[in-house]
Amino acid sequence: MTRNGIDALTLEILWQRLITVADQMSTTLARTAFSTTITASNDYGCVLIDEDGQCIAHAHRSLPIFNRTMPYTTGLILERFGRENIGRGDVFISNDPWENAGHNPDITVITPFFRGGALVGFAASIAHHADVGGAVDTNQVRDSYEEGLLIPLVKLYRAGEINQTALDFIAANVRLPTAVIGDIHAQAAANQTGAERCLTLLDEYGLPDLRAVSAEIHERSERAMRRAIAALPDGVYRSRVVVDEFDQPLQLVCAMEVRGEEIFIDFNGTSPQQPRGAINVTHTFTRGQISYALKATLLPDVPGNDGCYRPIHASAPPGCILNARRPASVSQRHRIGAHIFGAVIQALAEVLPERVIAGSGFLVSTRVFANADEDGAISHSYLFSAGGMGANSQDNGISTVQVPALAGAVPVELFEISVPILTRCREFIEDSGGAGAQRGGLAQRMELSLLPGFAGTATVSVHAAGQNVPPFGLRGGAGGAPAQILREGKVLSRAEKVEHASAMLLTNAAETVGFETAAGGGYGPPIEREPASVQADARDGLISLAQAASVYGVILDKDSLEIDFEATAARRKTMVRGAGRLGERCKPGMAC
Amino acid sequence: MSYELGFDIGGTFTDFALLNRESGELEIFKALTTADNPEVGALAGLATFLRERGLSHDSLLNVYHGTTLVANTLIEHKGALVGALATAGFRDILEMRSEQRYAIYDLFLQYPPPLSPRYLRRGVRERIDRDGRVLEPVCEKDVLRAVADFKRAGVEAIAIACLHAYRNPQNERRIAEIVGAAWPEIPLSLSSDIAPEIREYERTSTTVANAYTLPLMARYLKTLDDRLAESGFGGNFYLMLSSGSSALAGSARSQPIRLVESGPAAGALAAAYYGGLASHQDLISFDMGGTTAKVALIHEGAPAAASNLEVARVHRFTKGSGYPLQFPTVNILESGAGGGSIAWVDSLGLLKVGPQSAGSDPGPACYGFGGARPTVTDADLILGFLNPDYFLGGAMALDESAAARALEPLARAFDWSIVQTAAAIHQLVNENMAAAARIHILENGRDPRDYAMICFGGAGPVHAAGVAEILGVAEVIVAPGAGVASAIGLLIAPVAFDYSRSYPTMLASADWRAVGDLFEEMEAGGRRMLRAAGIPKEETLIERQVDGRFQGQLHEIQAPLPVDLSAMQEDGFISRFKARYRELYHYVPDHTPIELLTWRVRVSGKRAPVKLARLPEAGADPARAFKGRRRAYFAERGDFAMTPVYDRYRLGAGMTFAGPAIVEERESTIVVRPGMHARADAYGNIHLFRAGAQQEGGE
Repeated sequence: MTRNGIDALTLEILWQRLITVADQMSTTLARTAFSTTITASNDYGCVLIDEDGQCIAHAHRSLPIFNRTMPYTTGLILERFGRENIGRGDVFISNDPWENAGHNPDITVITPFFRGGALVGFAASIAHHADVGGAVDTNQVRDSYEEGLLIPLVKLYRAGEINQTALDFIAANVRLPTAVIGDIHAQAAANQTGAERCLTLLDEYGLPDLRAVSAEIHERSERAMRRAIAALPDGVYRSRVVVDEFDQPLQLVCAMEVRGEEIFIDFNGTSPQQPRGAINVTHTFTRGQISYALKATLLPDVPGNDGCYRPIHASAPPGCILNARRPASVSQRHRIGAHIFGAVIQALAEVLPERVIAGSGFLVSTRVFANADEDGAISHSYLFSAGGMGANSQDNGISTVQVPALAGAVPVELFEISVPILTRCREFIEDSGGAGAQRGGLAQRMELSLLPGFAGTATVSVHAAGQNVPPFGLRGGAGGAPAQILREGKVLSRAEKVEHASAMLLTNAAETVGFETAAGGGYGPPIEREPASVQADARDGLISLAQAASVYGVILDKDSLEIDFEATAARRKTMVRGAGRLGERCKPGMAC
Repeated sequence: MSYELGFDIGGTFTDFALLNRESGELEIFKALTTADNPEVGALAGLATFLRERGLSHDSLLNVYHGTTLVANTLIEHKGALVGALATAGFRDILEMRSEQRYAIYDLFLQYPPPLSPRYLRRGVRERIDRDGRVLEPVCEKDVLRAVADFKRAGVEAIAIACLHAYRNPQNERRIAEIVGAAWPEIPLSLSSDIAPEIREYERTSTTVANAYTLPLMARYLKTLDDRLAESGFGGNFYLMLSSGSSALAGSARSQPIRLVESGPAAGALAAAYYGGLASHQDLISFDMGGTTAKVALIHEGAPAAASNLEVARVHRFTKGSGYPLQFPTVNILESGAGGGSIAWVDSLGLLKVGPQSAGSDPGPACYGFGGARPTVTDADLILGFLNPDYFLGGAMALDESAAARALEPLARAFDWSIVQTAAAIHQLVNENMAAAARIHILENGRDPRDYAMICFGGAGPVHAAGVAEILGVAEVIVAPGAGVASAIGLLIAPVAFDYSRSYPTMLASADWRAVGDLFEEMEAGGRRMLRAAGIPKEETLIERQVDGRFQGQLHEIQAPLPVDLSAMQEDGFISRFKARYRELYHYVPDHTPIELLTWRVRVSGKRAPVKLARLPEAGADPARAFKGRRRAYFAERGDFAMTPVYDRYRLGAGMTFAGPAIVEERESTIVVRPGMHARADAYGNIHLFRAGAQQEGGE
C-alpha cells in the first residue's frame, strides 16, 4: 500500500487510464473542430484536473504551455466562484490573456464533474480559435483592447442551460462565427467525454473521488523532480538572451538558482513591456515556458502533471516584457515568449551539456484573409511554419520541426482549398542550419500568391519569430540563419517589416509574399564534424560546397564530391577552433 | 478434386493451409522460412506438402499468398534506391512531414530517414490547382535532366507525386510518359495511381514507399508465379492485401505497398470467420505473441478498417514516428505486451511491463537461455498457468526457479512475495491489452460489453479470460492451434480491390454526374480484375462510400452511398450522416453544410463460403480429456488452488467444464478463471463464458 491507501499496481493502472481519458478528449476535439489551428496544427490541449485545481494528466500531444495554464484558470474558478457555487451542469469559459494562455485566440473551456453531490474534478480544454476579432494589422496594435474579443471567466453553461447571451456576444464579435462557436461546442463535448470517462473509472475501481490517486501522482512526480534537481550542483546559473523581433533589440536575463532540491528562476533585468507590436508576454505564458524547458531537460520520462512543478519557483518583475501589465498588447506573445525556452536552456547548458539542445528556429505564423468567391463571405486560413531544431550532443537538429511549440503544418493542398492562394514553394533553405559538429536543423522558405483567375484580393499577415538574431549555437556550434519576411522575393528591412508585414495586400497573381523561418543552431565546433557527414550534407544540398570549405574546412571535389583529405587537413589546421562563421545564405529572390 | 491453398510467409515459419472444397477438411503444415529467398523455402515446402498427400500442383484450384516481406523491407531499410519527382519547389514534402514532434518532452527524438534521399528528390516545373486546372504544363527539360542524374546515381525505381494530382493526374502521366521514353525499363509509381487522396505528405510518402518496395517485390512475385506455373499449377495466384481482400497477383504487382499488413489482415479475417461460426458478428480479436499483442475489431462480421496506417516506426508504439501510408487497411492496434515483455520499475517507483521484450533470444528467464530479466512468461509460469514439462508440447523444459530469481528484485522493490509479484505482472499486462481494445472500441462509439472476444497466439489464451473480465466481455472464443489463423484468413478473403479518389465538393452543389463518372472509372479497374479471376458479373459487388465532414473540419467520417446515384436522396444521406456523427461525437453542428472529399469504392467478388468439417458430438462429460490437477494462482482467491487440467486434443465437441481450469495444448495454454464455464464446439474452438453470461452460440 502507498501512503494514500492505493496499492502501487492500482495506481499504475489508474494513472495510465487517466492519461488515456485525456487522449480521448483530445481525439474527440481534433475530429470535431473546425479550425485548422486545432485539426491540422494541433494548437490545443486537454487535461484532467483534481478538485483543488491541480493537473493530474494531460493528453500526449497536449501543448506544454496549455498544460500549465488550464489548472491556473481552474484555480481562479475555485477562488472566484467558491466551491459551493460550482454545480453539476456548469461549464466555464475564458480567454483573458492574463488568466489563460497569454493571447485571446486561446479559449479555455472547463467542465467540473461530480459524484453524488461532491465536486470530484475538472475536465478542461483550450484551443487556438480561428478568429477573435481585433486588428488584422497586429504590428500597429497598442493595447489589448485593439486585439478583439475578451471573454472574462464566466459560466458558458449554468446547471446544463447554455448561456446563449454569452454565445451571441462571442458570435457577434468574431469574423468567423461558425467556426468559433462550433469549436467552443466541440471543446465542451470533449470535456464531457473526459468527465464521463473519469467517473466510469472511479466506479470501476470503487473509488469515492480522485483524492488518493491525485495525491499519489503529485507526490511521486514531485519526488522525482526533486531528485533530478538535487543531482545538479547548487549554484546560480545565468543567461542573457538578446531578442530582436520587432522595432528594437530587447534582452531576457535569466538567473536560475539551484538550491538543494529546488530551483528559483527570476528574470530581473529583462527589458520592459513594449507599447506597440503585440509582443508582450503574460506571466501565465512565461511560467508555462519555464516549466516546459525544465521538464523536458530534467524529467522527460515522467508523465506531465502539476506535481512535477512544485519544486520550481519562477518569477519575472511586473512590467517587464515577460510579465506585462494590462492592458499591454499581447497577441504575438510567442515571438518573445518562445525565447524563454532558449534562455532557460542556455542557463542549464553550463551544468547539463548532454541534456540540452542548441537554439531552435521558431515558427512563422501566417494568416490569410481573402474575400470568398461570390457571396462576400471571408475565407481564412492560418499557416504555422516550423523552423529548424537545434542540434544536440548526439545528433543533428531535425529540419522544419516546431520547438518549443508543438503545433504542426497545414498541408499545402488543404490550405489551398480553404483560401484562393497558390503556394509557390515550400522547401528547405540550403546552408541555413547552424554549423557544428552536429548541424542545426534547416529552415524553410515559403512563397504565396493569389490563385490565377481569382478576381478578389487577399490580406496576408506574416509574423516571424527568430528574426535578426540567429538562434544560438552551443559549445562552439554556429547559430542558425534568422527568419526573414519577403515581398516579391525580396527580404524586407526592419522598418518595412514593422510597417507592413502584418497586413500585406495581394491584388493580382503576379505579386508574392513569403518568408524564411529561422534555422537551428549547431552543437560543437564545425571543424570537428566528420568529413563524411559534411560530404553527405553537400550531396543532399543541405549545405553548399562553399560552406563545406569555409565553415567546416572540408574540401570536396565540385563534381564528384570526393573528399580531398589532404586539402581538408590543411584547411582545418588554419581554422581557429571555435564557432564557425555562418555560411553564405540563400540569396533573396533566388528561385526555390 | 478441388483444393485451395493458402500460404503465409512469416519471419520464422511459412504456414500452409490446404482446404478440400468438397469435404471442408482443412490441413495445416509448417516449413521454416528461408530468409534470404523466402520463395525457395515456400516452394519446397509446398512441394513436400503436396507429395506427402499424393497430390500435385494441378489439383490446386487457387493459391493465396500472404507475406511480411514488404513490411520487413521497410523496417530493415532494404528497399530500392528511389528517385522522386515533385512539383518544383516542393521536393522536401517527404522530409518536412507534419512539422510536429510526436513526443512533447523528448528533445532527442528521431524520425526514420526519408525513403528517397534528398539528392534524388527533384522538382519539375508544372502545376495543377485545387480545381484540377493545369496552371503550368510539365517542363520536359526538368524531367529529362532528373532522369539523366537518376541513371548515373543507380536509381532503381522512380516515384512521381505532384500537388493536387488526386484531382487531375494529367501532369503526372505526362511526366511518366517522358520518363518512360527516356528510360523504358525503370519502374514508376504515380501518386495519382497509388494514393489519389488529398494531403500531399501522406500521398507522397505512400507513393515513395511503393517505389521503394516495387523492384524487390516484382522479382519475388515473378519468381513465385513462374515456378508455380512450371510445377503445373494452372489456377489463379492471389495476394493478400492489407485491406483484408485478395487480388490477382498480376493486378497487385504494381502496388506492392498494399501488401504491407498482409499477415495481420488475414488474421483478422480468420477472427471474423470463427466468430461467425459461433454466431458472433461483433468481436475483439486478440493475438498475443512473444513481443506484442495485436487487437483488431470485427464489426458486423467484417474487420474494422482504417483508410491509413503508419509503418516502420522509430518507436514502435508511438504514433507519428513512422512512415504514413494512405490506403485501406484492416485496423490493427499493436501494443508492447507479449510473453517476452519485460517487467521493470520506473523512476516513480511504479511497476511497468514492456514495451521492451526479451524476445526469443535470450528469451524469458525460465527458458534457461541466459535471460535474467523478469518477463510475462516467467510470471505465468510461477502462477501455475504454464506447465514446465509441457511447454511446446514438452519440447522445452521451463525452469521455475530461474523465473523466481528473475522476479526477486521486483518483489523486493514492492515488498511483495514472488507470487504476488507474478500476479501483479499478469494483471498489469492484461490491463495494458484491455486499454488498447477499450480505446479502439470507444473511438468507434461502441461499448466493449457488446463484444465477444476471440484469441490467438501463444500467450493469447493464457491472458484472454483476464482481459475479458476487465472489459466486461461475456464470451471468449479460443480458436484452434497457432498458425491456423492467418492461413484460414487467406482462404476466405474475398477477391476485391479498393479504389479511392479525392474530389472535394459541397454536398449541396455536388455534380452527381461527375461523381458517377469518377466511380465508373475507378470501378472499371476492379471489374477487369474480377473478370480475369473468372468471377461472373452477377456476383460482383460494388460498395461505394464517401468521406464527408462539416465544412471547415479536417477530419472526415465515412458514409455509404448508393450505387445508383440518380436515386441519391440527399435528405436521407444527410440524416444518416448526422446520425453516425452523433453516435461518434454526441454533438452535431447542425447548421453547418456538409462537404464531401474522398470517394471510395470496393469492387469484390462473392466467393463460395468455406465450410469446415464438423467434429462429432462427444457428450458433455470431459472426463476423457482430464489430465490431472496442478496448483494455479488466481488473484481473486488470494491463494493457489488445485486446478483441473485438460488435454485440448481430447476435448470433444460439446464437452463442458467449470473454471478454474487449465487446458493444455502444444503451442499454448488456456486459462479458465474461477466462475467461468468452458465448452468445446464442433470446430475445435473452446468457448469461455463469464459468470452469469448466457451459454449461447457455439454452433
